[in-house]
Amino acid sequence: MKAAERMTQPGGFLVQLDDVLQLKSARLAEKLQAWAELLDAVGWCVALTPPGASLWLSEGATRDLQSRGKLPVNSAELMGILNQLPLTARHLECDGVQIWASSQTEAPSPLSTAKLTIRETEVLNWLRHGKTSPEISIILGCSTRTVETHVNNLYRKLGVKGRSKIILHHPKPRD
Amino acid sequence: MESYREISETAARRIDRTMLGMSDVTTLEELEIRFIGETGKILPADCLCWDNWSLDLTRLITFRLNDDYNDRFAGMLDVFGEVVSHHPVIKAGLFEATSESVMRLSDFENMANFRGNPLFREIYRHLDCHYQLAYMPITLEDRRIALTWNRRALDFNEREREILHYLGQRLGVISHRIEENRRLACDWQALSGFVSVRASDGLIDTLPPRDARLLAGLMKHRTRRAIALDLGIRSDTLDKRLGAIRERLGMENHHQLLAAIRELGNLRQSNS
Repeated sequence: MKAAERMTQPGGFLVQLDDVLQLKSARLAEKLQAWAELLDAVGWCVALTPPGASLWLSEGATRDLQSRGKLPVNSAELMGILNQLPLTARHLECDGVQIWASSQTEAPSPLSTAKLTIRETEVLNWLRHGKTSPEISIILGCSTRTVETHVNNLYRKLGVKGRSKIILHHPKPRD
Repeated sequence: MESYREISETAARRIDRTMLGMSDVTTLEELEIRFIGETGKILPADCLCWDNWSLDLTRLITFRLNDDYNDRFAGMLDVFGEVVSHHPVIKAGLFEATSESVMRLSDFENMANFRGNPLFREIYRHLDCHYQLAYMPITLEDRRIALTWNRRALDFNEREREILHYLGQRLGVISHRIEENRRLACDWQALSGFVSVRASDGLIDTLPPRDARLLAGLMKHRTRRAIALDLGIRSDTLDKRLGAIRERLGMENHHQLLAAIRELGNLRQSNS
């Protein structure tokens, strides 16, 4: 193979070299993307601009920007939109990653409106820690049946069914 | 200059091997040192320079040449920056074109003229080099990298132009990827900082991308079947994976895991 052919040949050395080199960045890019999705799933708006690729918006970010009127096509446009947001809503801004809080105020959770008894609040707290009913009964020093009654009352007051739903919909308020 | 008629296959292969050996370099600075060190063996006895320009060519960020010349050039970076506009190629407005083909200095200015040039008086006098090939393999985000190959007494021929082009193209590929990698690493740093102030220590390091995807699906209330389909695994494998994640994070049950992940989104009002 002549040197001249090496250049023009598809899959030639330049491609081979590039393949070797891009492995590392591909891995990083995948990590970034996966975590962006996870952050999106817990309620953040995430935008990624990988080098050499176009802007990627998470589902939440797309929804949020649509509610503002228009979808940006590149990161410059996105920054233009984000600059109008209050500083407190913008949580992370660097070259390739932007994270901001959605503008849509979530429906006030029944947690704030529901009137919980002291005991129920305690049970809710332990539920959030992933404790089972027998465990809570030991912690609170009452019987398992009583705990389950509290939990059932909680389901009724918060309007959900299932423990994981309680955790997902009623995150621990910040202290 | 797309076909390399003058380079023998052996020479090309040698360059390829050398450049492939540089593929594990992680920073431009390291690449700079390695490149000058390694190619010094391919092109011995001539002064090869690596010029790392700022984008607008007003400032030279780093400048490196083969060992023999390094001492003579110590501390001249500022001077270089001042006189660089006298470089015949830059003066002719052709520096951009050097990214397409290798330029030979003697095509622009003869030796007598070059001696009168401030650039020579200040810089190349120290190198004692009168002939030069210039090639810019790549323009990066904040810098351009240019290679020059300088020689004392003998002008360059076609073969040497091709060699520098061949070398430079490969160097361009490598430095492009290094830059890309650096940017990604920077983004990743920012993101993991964002996560680590909101989650328990080590969460971001213990969750590989596939597991993060899996949890993202769970948090979006997608069914296990759909998540498993996306990841290309069976749903009982998914349960197994979930168990492994819990184990690694030291969680007792699924609810704790969900609560921990929920925490990530929870601190949104942390400033207020």
